[in-house]
Amino acid sequence: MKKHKKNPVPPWDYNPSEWNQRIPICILGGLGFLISTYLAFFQWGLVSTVWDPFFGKQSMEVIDSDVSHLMYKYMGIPDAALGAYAYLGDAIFGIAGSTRRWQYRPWLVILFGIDIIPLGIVSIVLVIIQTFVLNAWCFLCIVTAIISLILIIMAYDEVWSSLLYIHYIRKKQKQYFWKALWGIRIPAAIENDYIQVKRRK
Amino acid sequence: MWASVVIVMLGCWLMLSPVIFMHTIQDQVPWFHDFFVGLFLVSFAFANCLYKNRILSIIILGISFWCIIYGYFFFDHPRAPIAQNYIAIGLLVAMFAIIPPTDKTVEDEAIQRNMS
Repeated sequence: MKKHKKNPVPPWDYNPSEWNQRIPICILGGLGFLISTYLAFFQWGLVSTVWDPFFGKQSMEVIDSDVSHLMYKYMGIPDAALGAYAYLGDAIFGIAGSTRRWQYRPWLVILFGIDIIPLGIVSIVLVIIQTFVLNAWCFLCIVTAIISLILIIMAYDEVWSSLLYIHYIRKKQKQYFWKALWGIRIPAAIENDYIQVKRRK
Repeated sequence: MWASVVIVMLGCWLMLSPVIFMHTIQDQVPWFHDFFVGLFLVSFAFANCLYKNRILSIIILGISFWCIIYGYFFFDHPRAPIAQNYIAIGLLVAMFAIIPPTDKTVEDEAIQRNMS
C-alpha cells in the first residue's frame, strides 16, 4: 500500500492513523467477523454443514473437535463466536477516533493493538493446533488466520507510534503520563515538542 | 453517539429475549431480569446520546459486566442459549460502551489548540 506522507508521525514518514490506513483494517476485520459468525452458527447448531471447497468434512471435524468443546466449556460461548467478537472489535476500534488518535487517545490505540496482535496470534496458534494435533484442516479457519496475520502487519505501526509517544511522556514529562494515556488534555507545547524532537532525530 | 445507538438496540434485544428464547418465570431466569437489565441499558444509553457523560459510559460498562458474570457464573456447562445470550450481549455492550464520543471531544479541542 502506498503510504501518504501528510502529517508524518514518528518514527514513520506517514501517519498510521490516517483513514486510508485504517479503513482497510476495518474492512478486513468485518470480513473476519462474517466468516467467524458463520462458523459460530455451525457450533450453535443453526447451520448443519460448513462450506469447504478443499478439505470437505475435515472442517466440521476441526470445528466440532475436543479442543473446540474444551474451549466452549471454559469460555462459555463457542470459540468461533469469540473470534467473531474479536474481529468485530478490530473493525469497531479501527473506526473510533480521529486521525491523531495515536497521540490524543493512546489508550484506544493500545486497546486496538491488544485486540489485533495477541488475539491474532491466538488465531494462528489454533490453525497450528488443527494441523498437528487434530491432523485435519479447515479452509475458513485458515482464511481467518491469514486475515489475522495481515491485520497484525497493518496495525502494528499505529500501536508502535502510540507506545513511543507514551514512553516519551513517561520519560520526559512524568507528571503528564496518566493524562496523556487517558487522552486528558496536556499542554499543546508538550504534544508538539514530541513530534519536533523525533523529526530532528 | 452511534455507539450509544447500538447499545440501545442491544438493550431492546435483551428486553425481547424472554420472547425470543421463550423462557418463563418457571425457568432459572425470571423474564423480568432480562426486561429490566435491557431497560437500564436502553435508558442509560439514551441518556448518553443526549448528555455524552463519561459516568454514564461507566454505568453501562458495569451493566455489561453484570451480564457477562451472570451468564458465565450462574449457569453450568453446557450453558443454555439464554446464558450465552447474556455473555454475548455483555461482551458487545462492553465494546461499544468504551467507544469515545466523536464530536466535541478532547481530540477536537486539542486540534483547535494546535491550530491557534
